[in-house]
Amino acid sequence: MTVRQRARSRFDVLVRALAFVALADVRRRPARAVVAIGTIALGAAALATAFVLGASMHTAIDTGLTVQYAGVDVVDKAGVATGQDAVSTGSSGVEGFSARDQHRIGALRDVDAYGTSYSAVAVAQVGAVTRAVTLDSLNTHRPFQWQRWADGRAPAAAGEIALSGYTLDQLHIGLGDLVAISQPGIGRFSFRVVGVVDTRGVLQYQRTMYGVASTASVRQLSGLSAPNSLLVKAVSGADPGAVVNAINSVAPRGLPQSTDDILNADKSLALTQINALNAVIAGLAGVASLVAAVTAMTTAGASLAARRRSWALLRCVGADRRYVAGMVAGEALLVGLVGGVIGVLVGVGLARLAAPLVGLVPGLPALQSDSFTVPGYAIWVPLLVALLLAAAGSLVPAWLAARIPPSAALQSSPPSARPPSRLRTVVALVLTAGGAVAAIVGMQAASGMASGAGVLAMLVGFGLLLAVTLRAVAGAVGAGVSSADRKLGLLDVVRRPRAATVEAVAITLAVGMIAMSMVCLASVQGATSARLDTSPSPDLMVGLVTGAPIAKETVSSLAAVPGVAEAVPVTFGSGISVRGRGHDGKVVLTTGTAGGDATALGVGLPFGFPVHEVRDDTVYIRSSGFPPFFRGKPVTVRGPHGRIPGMHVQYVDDLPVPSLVSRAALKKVSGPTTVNEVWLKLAAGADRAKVVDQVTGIAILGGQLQVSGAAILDLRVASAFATARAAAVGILSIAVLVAVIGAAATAALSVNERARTHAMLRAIGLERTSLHGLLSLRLTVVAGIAACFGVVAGSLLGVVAGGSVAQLLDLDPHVVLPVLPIAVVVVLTVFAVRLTALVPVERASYVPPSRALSQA
Amino acid sequence: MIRSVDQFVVPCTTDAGRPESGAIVVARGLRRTYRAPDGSEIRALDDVDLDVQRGELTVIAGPSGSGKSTLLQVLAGLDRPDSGSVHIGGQDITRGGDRTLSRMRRRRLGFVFQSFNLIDSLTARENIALPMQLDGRKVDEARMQSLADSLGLGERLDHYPTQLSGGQQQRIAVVRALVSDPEVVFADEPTASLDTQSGEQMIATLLEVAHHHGHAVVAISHDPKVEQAGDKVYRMAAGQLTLVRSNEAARTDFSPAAPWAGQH
Repeated sequence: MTVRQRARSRFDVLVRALAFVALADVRRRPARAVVAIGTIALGAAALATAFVLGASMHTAIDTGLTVQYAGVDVVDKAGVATGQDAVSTGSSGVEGFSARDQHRIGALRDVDAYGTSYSAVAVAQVGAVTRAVTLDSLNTHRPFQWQRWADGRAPAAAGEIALSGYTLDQLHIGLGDLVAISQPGIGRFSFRVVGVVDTRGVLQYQRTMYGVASTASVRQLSGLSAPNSLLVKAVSGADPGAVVNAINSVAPRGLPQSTDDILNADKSLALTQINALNAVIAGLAGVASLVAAVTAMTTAGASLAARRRSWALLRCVGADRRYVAGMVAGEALLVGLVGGVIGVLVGVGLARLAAPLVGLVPGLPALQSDSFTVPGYAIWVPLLVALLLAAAGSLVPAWLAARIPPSAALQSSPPSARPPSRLRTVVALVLTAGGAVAAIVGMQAASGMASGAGVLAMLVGFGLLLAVTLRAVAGAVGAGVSSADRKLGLLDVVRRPRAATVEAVAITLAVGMIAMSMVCLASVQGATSARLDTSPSPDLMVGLVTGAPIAKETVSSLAAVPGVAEAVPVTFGSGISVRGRGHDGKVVLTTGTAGGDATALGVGLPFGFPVHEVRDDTVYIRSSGFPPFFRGKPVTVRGPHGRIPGMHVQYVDDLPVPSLVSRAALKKVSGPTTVNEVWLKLAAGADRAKVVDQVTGIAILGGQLQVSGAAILDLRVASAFATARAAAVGILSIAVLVAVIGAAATAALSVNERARTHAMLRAIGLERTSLHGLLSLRLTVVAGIAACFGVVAGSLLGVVAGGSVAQLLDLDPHVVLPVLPIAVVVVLTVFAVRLTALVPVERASYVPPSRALSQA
Repeated sequence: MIRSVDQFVVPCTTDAGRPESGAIVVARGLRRTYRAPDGSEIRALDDVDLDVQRGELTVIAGPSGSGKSTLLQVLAGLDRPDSGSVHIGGQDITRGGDRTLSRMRRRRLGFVFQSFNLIDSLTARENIALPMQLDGRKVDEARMQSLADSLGLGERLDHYPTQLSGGQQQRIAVVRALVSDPEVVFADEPTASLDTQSGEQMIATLLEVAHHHGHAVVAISHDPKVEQAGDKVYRMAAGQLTLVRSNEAARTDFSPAAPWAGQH
């Protein structure tokens, strides 16, 4: 046997011996291993869930984009879009693909097959419910018909329609019911629902109204004489770009695009949001994993004292520092491996359970069963992370274990920890205060580096302060307690603050996570609301300054929508210009000029009209960085019916129209005036989504009028915020769960590790109830202080995180401290920790005093 | 409501339960069976009778697994027998509730454990005072100091256990056992964790506790020196107790000058 072989053989024997000792310890103290495995598993599960759901969403997007263009190489659409865009685009003035166009396209050398269909945006009405709906006819080329029927059948005759499940839900109808479909200027028709369209995950129809009707019906509703959608299949090997060019040359009717171009553009748009969300989810899953690592470390730390002699004994029998550290790390890796495997299995299972819920979150695609994807990285990354977490969590315990001298095997107990020095207290205070200031200043200065460094310093300071505070508070409480047994529990905290700190860290972590997420979310929401609440523009605006006039009936219908408090028609003149001298010499301003008085117009605005009184001799112009006219110089307002010279100019911030004159001045210069805009002020507490839906329906019926305003922005922001909040709450709840489990486990382990002391106390006469009281008081004091630290640290972090998110969203940072919810959740968390830890406390009080005589 | 230990005294009515004259601990017909991991029964105590006299060092010797620790636990009220009775000062401790037994352990019994069982976060002085404080009684500092001085620990009372040697820790444990002036002191392998010199000092201490003051001391040990020093020596084997040697003269040699002398 060579030297190398001999060394390897000795190494193998040693590794096996150490593994045996480590496994024996796991077998003997399974609770500790179970807790460590559980926390690591939860961290890995969070990651696996995030990865699987992220991958499944990608699959859903791929499927949703490609399914309606399966087998299609070129898509040519003439003027009709779907969804909200259609509201402004309309179908008027659009020409479809005539029979001649189709013939020319079909005759192209590279075209294998083509098919056409009609597409229209109309208004569906059932009772008081009015919604815009996109309607398609089935493509004439059967292989291009991507729609399937979840129930019923395809519409065959005029008066038959198939609607998507979402559409039926929105209209509160089902198969066999009637629905009225209207198109302004064309008419109102009654359809019977004969089928439920299976949209097969097509993204654009997941949360929009969609239906299929017969070719004749959709043609009539579109107002076209020829189909406005044409799909082409190129011959094998043909370049789709060449086909696009060829189609453009023979039938320049629509906008031909290769399917790849459309898919890439749509995919990039869809994935931008999903990727951002995935990044957030992965980040939060990382936080959950980090919490798991800290929890694993505190769990290991809680059992350090109990294992001290075992490790020292190993040192005595010849294991050097590396072997002891290796054994601790090896045990941790074993725990990480088992925890990782369990975590991955649980994570994939959780993702499967959560998949149907994903589509309920605004902005996320619905996950069909065939979209559920488990990529390889969703398995090995969490496994690897679990191993790394376990290894990271074992670093401190391994280092401490390696430092234990062999002589410790001869000592009955570890040396007493030194009480925290005054210098350490001062350093802790400086780090905490300085870190907090740096974090807040950094946030205000948008400096990520300063914020990060501040947060780090603050956390380190908090960690150091925790031990000092525990010691001081336990001492103060102990001084006020008369009962010797209860005092004994607190004295343990005073004399062994490090052990109590290990218990407290887990609780601080749990409570800190809760406080941070609640403050962060509340602050971001507060910043969002603050911007919307201070927006001076109308809640909703129907129509455009330069758009078509709005009929009186439409204004009345808008005013009658439930949730609309005020509907103010805004009258504009035609052909009006403002002339005068400015920095560019002679200036002629021809923006839309409205006429009205401040009181009447102010009714439609959330904060009233920005001008107190509209004077006859003044023209009001919206402020900008480049005012067109010199201030104080007179201007002339000219229109088809006259001119008013010598008018004053007043620039107004947040003027909701480009320019404004008094009603009398408008009448003097303008030709016939028209109502081009209607401002809607929503009632307090109105369901904005519902109002926007109904207003949009009326706007379509009123001539495809555009709908805009703060309420729509509010809905979009609320939708994005709901998505982010759902993801954040989902993942953070795992982190909080990990931390709570960790806190409870650490407290429980701490109680268990002191079982012998408890038995001795029982042996020398401590009653069971007194032991219970002793442990409970100690736990309450430690948990209470830890919770206070968690609230303060978490809230500060939440403020910093909320400010950073607000800045990312281009919002003014707002600090919102949801005191009551935090207090409730914190009390519940501490209660949960106490409750869980009370089980071992209860068990400890039943420890037979005879155990004090045992050497175990 | 039981207001004092005496209220719980159960007078013995049978011949078997009646104590010998002067016996402070009377055990009759003790049986205790454990179930082994393989399901078989282990009879740790098999019809054990024992009388412990005041002023005597009673030693129970025997090999490991013979049942001597079980006997000590049952005698001290730390464990309950399957059958049989233990009277301490006339009180049947096999029938009391937790509160009563705890109070009795605090007031009438003292314990010296093999592994000292001192609380690391308390100083020697605080460890010693613990039983008295748990009982809500004020510690007699002079008595504590006197006891500590007599065992050579006068300068060590403000040290933590980790700052003391094994022998010093064990002597602190003895002072803790004596500070409440108990009627019976139970010692579990008191010399097992000590070196030869400390062990001999411990034996001398236990003898003084018994002979000079009149405490009953029950020690289990397989240290031949402890066995040799015992006034009465019993041997446990397979759960059965046999008297090996008795030295009746020992308990007459009380010395009131001993620092642990209390009022009985």
